Amino acid sequence: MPLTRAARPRAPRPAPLDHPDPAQRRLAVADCSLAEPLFARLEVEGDAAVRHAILTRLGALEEAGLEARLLPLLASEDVALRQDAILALRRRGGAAVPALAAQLAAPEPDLRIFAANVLEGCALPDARAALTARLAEEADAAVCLALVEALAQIGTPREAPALLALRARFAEEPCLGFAIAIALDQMGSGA
Amino acid sequence: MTHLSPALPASGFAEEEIARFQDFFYRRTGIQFGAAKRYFVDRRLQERITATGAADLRAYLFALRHDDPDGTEFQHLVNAMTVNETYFFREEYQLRALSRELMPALAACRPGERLRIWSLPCSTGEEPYSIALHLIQNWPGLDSVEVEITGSDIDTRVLAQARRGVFEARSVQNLPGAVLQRHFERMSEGRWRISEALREAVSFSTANLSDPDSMRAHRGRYDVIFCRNLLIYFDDASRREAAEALYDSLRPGGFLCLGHSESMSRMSSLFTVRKCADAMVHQRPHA
Ligand SMILES: C[S@@+](CC[C@H](N)C(=O)[O-])C[C@H]1O[C@@H](n2cnc3c(N)ncnc32)[C@H](O)[C@@H]1O
Repeated sequence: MPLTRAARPRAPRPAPLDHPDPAQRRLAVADCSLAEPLFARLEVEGDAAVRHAILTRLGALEEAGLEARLLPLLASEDVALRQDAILALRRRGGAAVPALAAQLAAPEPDLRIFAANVLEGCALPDARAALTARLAEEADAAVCLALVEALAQIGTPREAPALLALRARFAEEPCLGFAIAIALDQMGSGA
Repeated sequence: MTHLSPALPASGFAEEEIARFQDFFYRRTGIQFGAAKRYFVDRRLQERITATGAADLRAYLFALRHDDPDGTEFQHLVNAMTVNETYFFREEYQLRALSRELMPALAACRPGERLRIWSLPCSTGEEPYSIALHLIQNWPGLDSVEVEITGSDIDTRVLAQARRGVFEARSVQNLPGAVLQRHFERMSEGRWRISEALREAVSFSTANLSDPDSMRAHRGRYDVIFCRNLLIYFDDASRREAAEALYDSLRPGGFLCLGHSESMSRMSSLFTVRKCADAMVHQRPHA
């Protein structure tokens, strides 16, 4: 048989991100290597499993700089989406820390708390440094609590002085004092 | 080996650099080394730095990122960093669930079809061979159903050992004597080699659960996946990614067996739980 163009094997065409079948959309998401179409899809996607898959994919992509676009999702009303965004940012590892460090200085206390919530899963020196730096300036007790809880997870004895200074600054907040004691204990610096 | 190795300082790396290394390794493998693993990590890293002749950790990392086009050094590094502990008939209750309930159920709903079982990670092969041995001993359906068993791991050194099929006495100690006598050949120094028939019945391949490109080749392929004693090395974020990849590797209605206490919250939204008499397994819902 003569060789024809039709004989050339073709790679199966991936399903489009707007395929009517959610199962196909999940696979399309897993095959998509660009952040932009995934973020665009996330805005209109109605299926929870596909939204999960989008966030998983965004956590894995090589593309640099997409962390800043994940941050606003931390403020979402949708608890599952927020949780997925936390995990996607953590999965990006050290690349996510500068954006999170910047968000620790956001004007809204809630955004600062969300950033601390993500950082508590990033056991990296930069993450510890960002948390302790914020601790020295933070005036909001609820944000301080989130910072302390994050350090309890990833802190080392090196961060203990920052926690002791905070305790002195917030001596009238027993709840914070209690959290600091637990954190020091977990960091191996309990008195 | 009992002698000390003076060329390997226990912990000579700057914290910044070790953190950068761990971050790189985590991104590629999903594995998160806790502080308790620091000694182990430092030692193995120093071995790779010495073997490659890199000037220091910084130079080694640079070369890994920018001068390892075919991933050869990355593979050496992975082989050095993984924990490969395993043995025959580990958590046997899951094998019982497989032989008594999962295989009969699958054979009933896929009559005439070949059933595929994946052991990921398989380490030195004890798990996929245990699956084969257990089915031979306990599942009569094997007479009429074709079963394909594959073992995969990120570590190529353990895969080579798995293919050889030679095991230490410690590894086979849970096996009933009759199984050992029937399917193994005794070698020198208390080692045992699994029969040629079983070596031919199980195939081995490289796979990285945390690499979407590596996992894509397995999409929708398996009826049962054993993924045991790997997720303990992952954090929540890489576990979530793993759950999605394992789901995608199963056929609808297929089963996932995780290790003891390795279930995760993300499982609950993707899989349904099936309670067998001997174990609890996760099932990808039927389409
Ligand atoms: C402790 S063994 C478990 C073997 C067997 N499943 C058992 O339960 O006895 C863990 C194995 O996971 C492998 N591994 C680590 N990271 C992996 C990854 N990202 N993908 C595939 N295998 C991985 C290691 O090489 C190691 O052989």
